[in-house]
Amino acid sequence: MKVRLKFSKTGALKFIGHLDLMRTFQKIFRQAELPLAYSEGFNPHQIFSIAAPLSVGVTSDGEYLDMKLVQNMDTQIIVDHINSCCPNGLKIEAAVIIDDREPSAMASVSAAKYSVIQEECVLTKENIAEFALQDNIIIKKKNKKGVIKDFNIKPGIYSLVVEENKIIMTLATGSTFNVKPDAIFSALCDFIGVSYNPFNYKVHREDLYHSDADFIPLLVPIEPVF
Amino acid sequence: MNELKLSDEILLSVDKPARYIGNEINCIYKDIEKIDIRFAFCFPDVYEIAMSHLGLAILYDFLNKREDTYCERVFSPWIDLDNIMREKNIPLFALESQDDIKNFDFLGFTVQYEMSYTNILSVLELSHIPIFSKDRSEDDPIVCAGGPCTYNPEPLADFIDFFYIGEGEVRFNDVLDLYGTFKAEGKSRADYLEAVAKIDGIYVPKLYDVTYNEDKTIHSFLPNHPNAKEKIKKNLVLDLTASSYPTKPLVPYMQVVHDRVVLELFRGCMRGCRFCQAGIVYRPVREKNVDMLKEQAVNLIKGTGHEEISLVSLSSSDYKPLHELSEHIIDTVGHEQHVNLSLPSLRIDAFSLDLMKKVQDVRKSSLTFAPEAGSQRLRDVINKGITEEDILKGSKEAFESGWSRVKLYFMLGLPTEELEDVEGIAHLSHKIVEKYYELPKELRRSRVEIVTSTSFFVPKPFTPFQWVAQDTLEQFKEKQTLLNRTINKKNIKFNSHDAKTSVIEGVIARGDRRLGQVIYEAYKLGAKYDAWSEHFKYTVWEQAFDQCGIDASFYASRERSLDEMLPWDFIDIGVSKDFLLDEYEKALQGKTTPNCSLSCSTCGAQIFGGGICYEG
Ligand code: SF4
Repeated sequence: MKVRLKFSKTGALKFIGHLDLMRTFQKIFRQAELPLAYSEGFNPHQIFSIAAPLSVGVTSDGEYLDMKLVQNMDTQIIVDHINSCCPNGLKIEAAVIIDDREPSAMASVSAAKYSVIQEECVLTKENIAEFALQDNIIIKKKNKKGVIKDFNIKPGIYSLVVEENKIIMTLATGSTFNVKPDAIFSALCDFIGVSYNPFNYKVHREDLYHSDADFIPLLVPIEPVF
Repeated sequence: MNELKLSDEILLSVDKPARYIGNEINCIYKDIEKIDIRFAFCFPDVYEIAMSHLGLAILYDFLNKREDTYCERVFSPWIDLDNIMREKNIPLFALESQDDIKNFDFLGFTVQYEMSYTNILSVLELSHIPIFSKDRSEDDPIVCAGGPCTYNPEPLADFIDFFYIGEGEVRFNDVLDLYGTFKAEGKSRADYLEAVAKIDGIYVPKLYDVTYNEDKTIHSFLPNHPNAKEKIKKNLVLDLTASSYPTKPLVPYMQVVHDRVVLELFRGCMRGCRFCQAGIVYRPVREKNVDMLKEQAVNLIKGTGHEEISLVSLSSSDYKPLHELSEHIIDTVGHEQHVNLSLPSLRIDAFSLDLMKKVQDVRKSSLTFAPEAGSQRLRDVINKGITEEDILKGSKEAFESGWSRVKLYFMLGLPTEELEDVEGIAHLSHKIVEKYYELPKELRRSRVEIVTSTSFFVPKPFTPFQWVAQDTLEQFKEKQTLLNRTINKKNIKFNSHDAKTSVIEGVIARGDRRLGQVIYEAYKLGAKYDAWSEHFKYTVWEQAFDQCGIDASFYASRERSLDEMLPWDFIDIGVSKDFLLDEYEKALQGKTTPNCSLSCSTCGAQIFGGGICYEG
């Protein structure tokens, strides 16, 4: 049986990088004595994958992990077992059974929603609105060969608004098109002509979505489950 | 989880912030309001090294079993953070509560290698605690230390308030009970240090006076207080099976040096290699019951979720139920939870190869031999009970079983070593390569890879070689060059340790109190992380010796006369000085001594009344 977990990563856990998080989950799953499926070979490893790596320094309430179990289990029991082994700051929020044909969270993810607090208010509502109105937003980015090239991130910004004191944005996420929040802030600072201080922006990921058209959270599978 | 001491800005700008946040799986949190004694346990090196240390896991668990005590961890911040903390004047903090070390009752160091001494000074300074014991006030924590290097505590005598000699599980509760009472009664640190000196194994340096002869050797070493004992007897756990062992050790987020569960098979070593300090100071051998180990193996995997379990000891092949235990682990957590078993410190023979084949991928793993010396004569001198025939036979069997990578460890500069012994290292390596080519062609699956590594011999206290002169830098280099020339590099990779580090290590290992000022001076001149070759600065140490007017060769390359009073003579490890002297003489004659399981040499360790001495 395949299970998708939605989890949060907050507090001190924001300093734990993606690979360390994977290692930590391996240990948590073994501690929780979950009947995880293993790969073949001399050094078998647990079969699970995480939807989209979260940058160090970013917190989240909407991370996803798909795993394969060799025995059926009640989802609430899975959640409870795992949570009893998690360190502070890591918590399974929900678990759903997904069909074997369901594409992996990693393959499905195409957008992420972030909410951002500025320590010091550098960017105003007007700045952001003006910025979002541009036809093209060009940033410099290294390509795979390490050459710095111009790159238009505008098509990857699905929404960018200010609500109360938070900047809320939905950005393209995944292997085909990926826009990171810090790219937005550095471009925004450039745009209004102030220097960019990455530590000024407390970034929090709210959720991950299937397609850029409907923004259905990954917690809702595409394939029906019988 | 507690509020982090360091700002996001700092944590996100240093390498590996996971080193500084605590909160790992199985991290212990206690309500500080309900605690009487706050103990900061320090391994003075970077997180990844510290967290791989078994002693830390044992004592963290042991001390936290006390309801009145909260033991937290503190390690050396890596150079990047070290600089920031000095620049911004941020005091060093403990990982659990993130509170300043300065507010603790105790700061306890585990001293595992000489090249960590400058890091100890650095931890003190970063904690805003006076570096010298004599400058500390009632507001400062009591600074204590233990671990293998403290069998010669003298080079650290100026910095440490008291030393605990031997295994911590035995008397540390007494040390803390006494503190609890004294704290409740509002007594001073001086009162406490005088009182704690009465407990077995406790050495309070300021309660002793040392005088020197004209030739700079020690004239007298005497207590200046009635509570201070003339001889400090090491503490030893007699029943290892019943001894406290953690069931839920900490699980780091980040990759550490040894990312696994560790099971201790026994303490001590029956072999009696004459260069090995651990083999003498941990005498006698005390085994842990196999049924207890089986139970702990399963519980530890459950408690940590690790994917590897390692069976450790100084010489695991000497553990008789090794096969039984390994089979059990493979059949339980191995099969059910895909846990790998790792078996370091095995002697390579048909028996152990059979076992290793079950637990590792022979094509990917390598085998390790530690002949230590290149010729049989010299192996007899050091009492390394392994012959060339054993090594060649073991290699042949290993190659036949599919291994093609072999690691060989040797030492340069052993007592009585001649240039032909050095060449012997090359010859033995070559013979192993030949063994590979004697295999029928169809069995030679890949190229043979031999890695021959040499370190430089450092004479250590409490070994039969505690009197010898260490080779000088020039002698080391000459031998290294000769070996490098003699080894055929076609199938053999040759690695050699840094000779300069070994010289400083040699000075400190057999040093006395007077070295305190050199260590301090070196630290002030910028020595730190000396155990890391990229940070070790030999010239800084040379300068420190110069400035203090202390001759390093007095400590390293001087042969001691047999009646000289040695700085560590007041420590009683059970093994007698007469035994060491005997062993030294036998070494010079090339005579070997049988191991404890074959026959007892009445080394003195029988006075503890247990272990292998009473089993044979
Ligand atoms: S007393 Fe005998 S058996 Fe015991 S440690 Fe010494 S030599 Fe070995």
